[in-house]
Amino acid sequence: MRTALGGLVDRRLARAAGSQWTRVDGRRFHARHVGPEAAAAPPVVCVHGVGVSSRYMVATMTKLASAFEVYAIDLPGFGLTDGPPEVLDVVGLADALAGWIQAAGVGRPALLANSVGCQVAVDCAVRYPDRVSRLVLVGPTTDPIARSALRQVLRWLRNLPGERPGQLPLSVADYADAGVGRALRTFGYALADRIEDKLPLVQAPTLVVRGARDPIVPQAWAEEVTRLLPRGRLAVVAGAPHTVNFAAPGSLAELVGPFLVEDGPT
Amino acid sequence: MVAKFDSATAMLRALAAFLHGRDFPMLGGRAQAEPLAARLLGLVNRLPEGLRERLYIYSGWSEATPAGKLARVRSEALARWVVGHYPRRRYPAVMVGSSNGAMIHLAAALGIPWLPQTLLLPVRQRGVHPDEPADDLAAMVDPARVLLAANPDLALHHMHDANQDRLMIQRMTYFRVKRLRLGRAYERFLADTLVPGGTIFLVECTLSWPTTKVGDRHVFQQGALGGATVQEAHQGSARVAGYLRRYGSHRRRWNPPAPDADRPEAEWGFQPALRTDVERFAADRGYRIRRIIFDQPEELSPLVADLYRDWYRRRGIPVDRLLVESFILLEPWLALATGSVPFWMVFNTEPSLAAIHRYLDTAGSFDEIRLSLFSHGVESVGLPAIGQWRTVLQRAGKVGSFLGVDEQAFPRDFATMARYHRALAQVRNRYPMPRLLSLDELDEFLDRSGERYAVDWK
Repeated sequence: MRTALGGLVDRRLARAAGSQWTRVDGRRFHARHVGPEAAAAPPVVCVHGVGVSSRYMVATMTKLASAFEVYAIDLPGFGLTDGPPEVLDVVGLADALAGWIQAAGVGRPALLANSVGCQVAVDCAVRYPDRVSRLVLVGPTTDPIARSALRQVLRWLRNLPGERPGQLPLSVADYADAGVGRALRTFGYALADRIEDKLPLVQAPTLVVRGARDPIVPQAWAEEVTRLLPRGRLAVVAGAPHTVNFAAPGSLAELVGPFLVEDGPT
Repeated sequence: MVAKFDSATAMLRALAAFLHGRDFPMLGGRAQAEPLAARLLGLVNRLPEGLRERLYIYSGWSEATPAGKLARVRSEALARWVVGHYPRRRYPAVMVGSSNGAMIHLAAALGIPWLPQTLLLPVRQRGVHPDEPADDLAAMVDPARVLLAANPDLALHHMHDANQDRLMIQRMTYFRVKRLRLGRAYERFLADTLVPGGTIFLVECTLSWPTTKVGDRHVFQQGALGGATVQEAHQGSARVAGYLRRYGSHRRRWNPPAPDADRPEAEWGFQPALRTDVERFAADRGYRIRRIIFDQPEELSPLVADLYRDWYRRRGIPVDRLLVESFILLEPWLALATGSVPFWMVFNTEPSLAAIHRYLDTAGSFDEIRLSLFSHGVESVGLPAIGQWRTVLQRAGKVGSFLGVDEQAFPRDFATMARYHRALAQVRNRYPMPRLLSLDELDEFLDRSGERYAVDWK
């Protein structure tokens, strides 16, 4: 259910990207959509992290929109998408994403994900390889050497000063929509999810993007993610925090654009 | 007395740390202090350029010896200081001779020590303008005479490089001393640690430089190996003039004392008198001598990198990680622990950039390339911009990253000294330390390589 703040934020975001509703397994699924429908490359689907929603993807969507058709979805229970009574784990969220890709008729898109959204995108790419052409993992979680709630929260707190203040109203609206309980339980599922076991099974070409000032994703973990991916490559955005898609959307688009049109089998 | 920031000292310490079974944080500093030092030097990197340069000058000055104390220097004490770094045990071989980063990785692979021929004794001075090499020579003639009179085993190469050492030479003079004889401490170390019939490798870099004879065992060298050529150091060029203008100098070229002959280069070159003495010692004691001869310091780098690749392949380790090291930012222990192929660059200048690109052209692709970049504080002639260094990283298949480099601060990134090791130490997917390479395995590799490298083994 949308809060008053969410309504205000969405009115502003609607100028940049329109809303689209798709029925998946009887549930209304919300996505933002922008860009030319006859783009040369497959569409891009942005996947948000825990607690937040498609709202903080709009900045990156608009930077990519001149060349690509871009969607940003709200996973079930987040943003404007209806949630099931139970909280979905990473596998459940990946199933929902795969269901939406099929129902929305977006072909075999590239997934651009941030934070815990990377775990959902990777799970989706591993179990539904025919529905994902490429991956862009922006600040992929969860670093196994800090697999505890306390250590993750400490890293998250260290990251906060580096983020742009403009993200605050969006995040408040997002957490109000999702509810703190759902956000926390999803975070718990993300902690238990072993992305490192899945990365070697990803067939899609993958670009890993790290903000140079991201304490949640240290350089060594970003390098390890890339090493484990059979077709991975790492790019670092100077000066950027964890949420590169909101804090440095121009730099992110400059990296992602060429990657999406690179030659090679997908 | 001996400079900590110098190539010979850093190489000695890196290798000694390896032989003690340790990595090499902060050029031999305390590992526990590394996080704090990295943070503090990170703050230094944020200071205005002029202030950072002052700090650099004074950090060097603080290590330099007052000229009046040079009379106390004894070559035997220096030699005892060197051998005191190494564990006392039996070695199948020992290296003696030129400083070289690739040689350090070779010695590490074989598990053997190296005794340097050359050490740097920085001497305090003030009032000499960096662009007046003749003044530096004149100011140091007397202290040099005193030093040499007390040390008949040493030759002095007074080196003056206003291009790359512009900051350091504002308050100090570079005295590089080269050992002409083994001397008692080196001989005793060899006798105590070499197995009967063991091998002494003579590391002979034949790099020479036009120098001026000042007196017996005393030469003056204008310029040094790096971004500017020998000709530029002596005759100047448009690049040199532009550089001197940028730094507000009254000169547009240097006016050094006229050179009278080519002699071993001060920092890297091998002074052959030592070979004669090593040959005498080896003949007396029944040791074998093997000479490793090369013209330029970096010529050993592709050979050692390929030796590591071959070694990793035989151990079943993926040969997909390249560690590109700059000058003294060395890590022999972590190179092996991370399964990285080490390629050493003599400095951070255009010829080194070309050398690593040439190696990548022949060696094929690496999934991961990590590169350390020494910062000497000067926008010197022949220094590639940070973007040019990025072209090396862009050749990585998966991960191309600087090791603890503050890209905005280069070449005044003084925090890198406390960060390069940390960045490498955090690399995941490590490998156990291997059994050391045997001399037979080295020979097999050399036999297979044929004439591929510009290194002569005699």
